[in-house]
Amino acid sequence: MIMATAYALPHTDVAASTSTALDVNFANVSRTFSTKKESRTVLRDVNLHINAGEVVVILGASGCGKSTLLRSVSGLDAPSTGIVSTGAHQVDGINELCAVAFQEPRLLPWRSVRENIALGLAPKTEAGAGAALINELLELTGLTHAAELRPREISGGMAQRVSLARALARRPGVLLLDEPFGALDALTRMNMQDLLLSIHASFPTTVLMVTHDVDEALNLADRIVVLGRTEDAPGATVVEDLALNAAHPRSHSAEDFIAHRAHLLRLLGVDPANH
Amino acid sequence: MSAPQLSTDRAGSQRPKKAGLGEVILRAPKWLLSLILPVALLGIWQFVTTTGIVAPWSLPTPGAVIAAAGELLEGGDLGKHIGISTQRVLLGFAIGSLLGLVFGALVGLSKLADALLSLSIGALRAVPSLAWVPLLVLWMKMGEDSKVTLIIIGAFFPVFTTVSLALRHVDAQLVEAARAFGFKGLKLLRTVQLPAVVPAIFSGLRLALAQAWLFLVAAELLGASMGLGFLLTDSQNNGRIDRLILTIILLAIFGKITDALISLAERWAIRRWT
Ligand SMILES: Nc1ncnc2c1ncn2[C@@H]1O[C@H](COP(=O)(O)OP(=O)(O)OP(=O)(O)O)[C@@H](O)[C@H]1O
Ligand SMILES: [Mg+2]
Repeated sequence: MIMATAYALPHTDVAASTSTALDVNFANVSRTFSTKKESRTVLRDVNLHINAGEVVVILGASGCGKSTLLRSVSGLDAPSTGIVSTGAHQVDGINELCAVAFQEPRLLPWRSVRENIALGLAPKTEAGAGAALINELLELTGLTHAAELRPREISGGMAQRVSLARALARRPGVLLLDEPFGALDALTRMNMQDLLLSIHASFPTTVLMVTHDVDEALNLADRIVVLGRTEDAPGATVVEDLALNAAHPRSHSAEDFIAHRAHLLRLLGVDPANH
Repeated sequence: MSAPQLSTDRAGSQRPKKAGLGEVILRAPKWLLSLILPVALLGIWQFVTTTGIVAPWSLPTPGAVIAAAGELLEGGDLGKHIGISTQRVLLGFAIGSLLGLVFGALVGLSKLADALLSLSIGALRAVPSLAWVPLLVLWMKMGEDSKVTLIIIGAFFPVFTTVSLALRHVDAQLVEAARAFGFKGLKLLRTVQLPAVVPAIFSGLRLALAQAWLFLVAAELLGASMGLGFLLTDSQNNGRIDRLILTIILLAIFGKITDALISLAERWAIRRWT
C-alpha cells in the first residue's frame, strides 16, 4: 500500500527523474510502403493532437494502419511524409520518451520477471532508485509473489502485466499500447482494463492504445479515434474523433454508452443490431 | 455392438504387456544399461582371442592390450603422448571456437559482413581437411604450430556456422521490443542476441570439440614425433597391434569424456538461457 502511494506521488525520490505526461502531435502524417513491384499507401494525412495525460484509444479495421501509427510515435517506423512529435521533441529514430507494450508480452525467456521489468528502466537510473521503482511496479501489477519466476512459469495474463510494468518502468511521457490485452481471455481482459485505469490514476501519463474491441475502448478512453478509409483516396485517415466524458467505472447500460457503441460499430462496418 | 467392444478389450490387454518388457529393462539405471554393450563386446573379444578363433597377430587379447598400456605407462611415454595430444586439442579448440564465435557474430549480425565474408568462408570450408596438411607443414614445419593450426581450422567451422545461423534467427519481436526501449549495438547484442543464441553456441562448441579430436589425429598421423596419432603410425610401423588398439580405445575414452563435460555445460546453458 505504502509502495503504491509512493508511486502515485510523482515527486518522491524514486520519481525524481520522472518525465511528465507529454502531448502527441501528428501533422499531415502519411505512410506508404514501397516494394519493387508496387507501393501501398496505408496512412494518409493523419492530423491529430493528443493532450498530455489523455487516454486515447484507436479503433479501426484490421490492417488499416493502427500499429503503423503507433510505431511512428515510438520511432520503430517513420512516416513517409509529415511530422510526429511528443512534447517539444520531433520523433526521429527511437523515441526514448515513450514506452511500448505489444500484443505479445515479448519477455526475455532467460530473465526473471523482475529482471524483465528492469529492462524498461531508463538508462542511467540509479541502482537503488531502480530497484525501489521495480518493487512498486511489482506491487501495483500484483506480481510481487512471481518476481523471481521465469516467463515460461507464469500465465499469459501475468506475462502481459509484466510487459506493462516494463513499459511503466521507463516512466514514459507517452505509453503506447498495441492491443495489449488482445490475446487474453475475457475475464483477464476486464481485470487488465481495471488495472490500466488504476495505473493511469497513480501515474497520469499520456496513453495511446490500439484495440479491436469497441467495449474496451468505451470503458477506457477519454477519447476514441477511428481510423478508416474515405471513398476518394487510398489509405486510412481519422474518420471519427469522439470525446467521452463519463466518469469511471462506466455503465454499459447508460444511454450515451449504447449510442456511442452503435455509432462506432457502424463506422467499423458492423451492424449494431446483431451485436 | 459387442464385437468391436471385444476387440478393443483385447488390444487394451495386449498393449501394457508389450510395453512391460521395455519398461522392466528401462527401470535399471541408465549407466548400467549403457555398459551392457561394451561389456558384451569385451566378453566376445576375450572369447574369440583366447579360443584362437581369431589369430593373435590380427587381434591381441584384452590382457595383451592392458599389458601394453602398463608397459607404456611405466616408461612414461603414454603420459607424454596423452598430455601433448590433449594440449593440442584444447589449445586449437579454444582458439578455433573463439574465432568462430567472433566471425559467426559478425556474419550473423551484419549484412555487410555477410556479403563480404560468407562466400570466402564457405569456400574455405569446402576444402577437405587433409588438403591443408602439406601446406601447413611446409609453412610451419613439423612443430606445434602446424598441428594446432589444423585443429583451429577444424574447430572454427562448426562454431561459425551454428552461431551465424542462430543469430540470424533470433526472435525478431524480442529484438524489436528491446530496440523500442533504446537498446542498440553492443548493448543489444549483450542483452538479447547473445543470450538468445547461447544454446546454439554450446551445440556448436560440442561439434567443434569432436572436430578438434578428428583434426588432431589427422595432424599427428601425417607428421609428428609425439601424441596419440603418432602412436598410431608408430605402432603400425612396428607391428604393435596391441598398442594400436590401446590408442584407439584411449581416443574413444578421451573423446567421450570431453564430450560429456561439454554436454553437461550445454544442458546447464539450455536450462539457464531458454
Ligand atoms: N514493414 C512493412 N512493409 C510493408 N507493408 C507493411 C509493413 N508494415 C505494415 N505494412 C502494411 O501496412 C498495413 C497496415 O499494417 P498495420 O500493422 O499497421 O495494421 P493494423 O491496423 O495494426 O492491423 P491489425 O489490426 O491487424 O493489427 C498492412 O496492410 C500491412 O500489410
Ligand atoms: Mg496491429
